[in-house]
Amino acid sequence: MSHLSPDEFVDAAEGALDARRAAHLDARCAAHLETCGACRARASQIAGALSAAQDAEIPEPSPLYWGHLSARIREAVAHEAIVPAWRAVWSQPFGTHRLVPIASAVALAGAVVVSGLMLREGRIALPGDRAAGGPASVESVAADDSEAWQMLTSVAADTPMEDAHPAGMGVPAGAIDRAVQRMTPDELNALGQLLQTELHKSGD
Amino acid sequence: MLTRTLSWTAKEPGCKVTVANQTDAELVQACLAGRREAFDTIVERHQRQVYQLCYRFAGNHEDANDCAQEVFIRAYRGLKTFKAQASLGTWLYRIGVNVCLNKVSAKSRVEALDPLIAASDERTASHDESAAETLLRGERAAQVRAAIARLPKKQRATLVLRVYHDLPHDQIAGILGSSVGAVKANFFHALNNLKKLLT
Repeated sequence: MSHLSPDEFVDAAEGALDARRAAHLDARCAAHLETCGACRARASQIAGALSAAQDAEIPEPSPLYWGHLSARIREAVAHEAIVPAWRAVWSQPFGTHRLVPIASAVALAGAVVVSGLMLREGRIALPGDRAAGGPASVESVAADDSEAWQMLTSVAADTPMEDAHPAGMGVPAGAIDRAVQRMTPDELNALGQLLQTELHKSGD
Repeated sequence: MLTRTLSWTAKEPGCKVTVANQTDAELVQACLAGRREAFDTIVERHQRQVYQLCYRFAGNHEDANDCAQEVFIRAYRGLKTFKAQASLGTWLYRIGVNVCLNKVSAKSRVEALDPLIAASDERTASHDESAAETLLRGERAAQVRAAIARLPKKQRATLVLRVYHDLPHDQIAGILGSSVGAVKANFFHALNNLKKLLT
């Protein structure tokens, strides 16, 4: 009769320490252990090591430790967002996320162009115009345009498309087409350069 | 404004009363829905088991502390990949074993002695029999922990999960990515080596 295999030694050692597991000990193993002194001695050594391991308790940390551990973990993940699986595609390389800066740039350019044309046509007035009661001078429009541009750029830089509309950064349907049709050659050229720059930034 | 206020109130610490009674799977769903306090509950529920797993691997509090924190940070980042069919505890064990196998090397600093033992000479002499027995048991436990920390990584992982977390062999096989036969063989060799290290 062959000696016990490692699997069987494990079963025998666990069975020696646990009656529930002893019940599952293979009949052949049990019979072999009855007759083979070498395997019995080996199984006893393995059971001794197992028993020593079971008895080795670990020091219990201070009761305050658990609160500290929780707090450190909370702090560590505080600035991380969990990305649900359905949104994970946005974080994949070469995914649709790469369209976001382009779409943002188009929307931004459209908003600026529409605003500029409306200013030029006198359909909206800057705060300074209301005070003066007349159309703004070229200099004041340019200065305010620059500030508006900077504000829009800084806000749009970190704004996902899905948040842009609720934030009031959307452009009415068809407004961009109409605005582009009214643009001067210089304005079209500037818009083209802007789009090229954004496309270059996105790496496409 | 009212909606905003109500939404904020729902995330106040008192809201833990509701998440505390949820199952692990519900807590994961709550986390994915953006309820960060649900993850706090997951941590509170599992941190002891995870810490103990890490301590068994590392053999000292400092490394166990670092590993336990790392386990939960990785779990948070990977929560979207958690499959509800599996137990969250088993999933955390899997992360814990990976963290420990990567971070805790065989040369890891292992406690030489329990704090109880460190300054015990004169105390042993002046204490009664049960105190001496306590110290001896503590010393023996420290020796066993140090021996376990010296086992090869897979053997250590198998022994820790089997002996201290009472996981069945097939579950350990799932965590370690091996077969039941390999787990049993590793366990056998772990106990053999432990016996040698303790004699």
